[in-house]
Amino acid sequence: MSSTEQGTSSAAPAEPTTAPESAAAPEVPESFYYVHGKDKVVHKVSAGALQHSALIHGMISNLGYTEEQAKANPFPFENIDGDILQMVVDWCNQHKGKPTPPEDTNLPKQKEKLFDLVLAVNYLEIKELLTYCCKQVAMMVKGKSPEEIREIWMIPTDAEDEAAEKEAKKRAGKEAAGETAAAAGDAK
Amino acid sequence: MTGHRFPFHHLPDDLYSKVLEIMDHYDIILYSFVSKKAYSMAKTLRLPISSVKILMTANPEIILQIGVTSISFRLIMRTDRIPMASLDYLPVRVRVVKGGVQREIAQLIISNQGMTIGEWIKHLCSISDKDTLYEARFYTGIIKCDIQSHPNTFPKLRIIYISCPRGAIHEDDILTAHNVLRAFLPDAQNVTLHDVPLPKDLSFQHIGMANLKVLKIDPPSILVFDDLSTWNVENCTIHLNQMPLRELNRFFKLWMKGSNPRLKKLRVSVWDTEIIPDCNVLLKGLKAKAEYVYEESKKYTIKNCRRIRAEIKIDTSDDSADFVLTVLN
Repeated sequence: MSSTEQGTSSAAPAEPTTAPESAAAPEVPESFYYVHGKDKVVHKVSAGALQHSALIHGMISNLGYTEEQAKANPFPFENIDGDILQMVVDWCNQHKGKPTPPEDTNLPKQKEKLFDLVLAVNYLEIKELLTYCCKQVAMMVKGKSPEEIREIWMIPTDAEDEAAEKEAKKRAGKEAAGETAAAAGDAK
Repeated sequence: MTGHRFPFHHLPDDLYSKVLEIMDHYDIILYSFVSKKAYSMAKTLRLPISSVKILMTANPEIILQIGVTSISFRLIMRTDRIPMASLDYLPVRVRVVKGGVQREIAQLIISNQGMTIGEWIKHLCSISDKDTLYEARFYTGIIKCDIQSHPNTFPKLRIIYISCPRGAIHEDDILTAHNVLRAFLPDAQNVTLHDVPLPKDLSFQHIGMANLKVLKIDPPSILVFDDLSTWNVENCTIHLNQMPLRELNRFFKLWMKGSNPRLKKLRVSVWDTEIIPDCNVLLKGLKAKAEYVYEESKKYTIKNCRRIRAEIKIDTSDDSADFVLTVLN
């Protein structure tokens, strides 16, 4: 599990407590990095756990930070809610250095957060977790009727889709007209 | 239903597609009925539906085959809608059954989705992959609608089965069979006609001359057997109630002279007969070589003018006889 602490990305965070070592701890001392979400709560995560995220792995692979530098420069993910980032970090820690099973029972249970979680995991490029999340989304409508699918997945009716499309076209038309008028004004 | 809701269509396109790709085909097909956008997304997945079978019965059924899984949509009709005079009738409800190898996996009753019989057929046939094999079975005593007036409802059918009720022949049955054959014969490869009375302008001769791979008929009227030599069918099965030994002998002789070059197999079955076929009549003048001769089973080989060999197998039982000509090379 990761440890968390209130802080800001600009100020150096206070010393977070270390995550428990896995049973088969490597002999070489493990390096740690720090991430925070919208709520600025800093999470200390091992490089091994972060390997699940192609985005973060790419960011840190050539950084060569010392522990101090990493502490002073947590990765900011301002577009991810703190509790969502916490779920992601927990999952990465639980699956650190382990092959991911075909069915994951450690998925976050809060289904109401699933939409934000899917977007966050997609952004962080955590392939296996994304697959599990998408499976969970798919399972929501398993064996359901079209009416139930519409309700669970909040799918608009054709009439609502058409109205939204008309509205979008109208808005785009207005914006285009506004831009043309502005350009004409500039020309004068 | 769960209390949790998920704004699925707010997902970015790549995630949206990823979820659909993970879903069971059964669920994707049900999802395709949710909206036009959902239908269009389901189509882009190009589901590997190997065949679609449409049964035009009192409660029409559309069966999709995906690997070993079949998904059946049975359209439950109002009883006063039988016989079916139009494809514009609305089903009362639809029973969806997902089946595996010899067992039912899931079952669901859904609403008619505001769609007519024709729209159900069109929807379920259009979400398939291009290589899908389409088959339809028409039962003329139940179907009275003019299929030709719905040209875009059915896909190009490769397999057609038409069955007419036994007994008195009704003009309606002739008309329905005629309409179905006119509409689908040009694209069909496999045709089965069960007790189908044909109009004067569309005889078995016309059907036999179409480039069919398989033709199975049990004609209600006497078949002009000599016409067979002009047929263009690869695999032909004919069920009769009279034994056409002389006609078959004539046909074999014509084949030996080079007729029916596309023919690979001809099977003539005779039911409800107590007459034991006389092989001397059947094989007269064929110079047939006996492979084996038992009381109830005999096999001979013959050769045509192009040195192509064929075997003639004759099986008889107490009340039936079966003649099979198989071209060997």
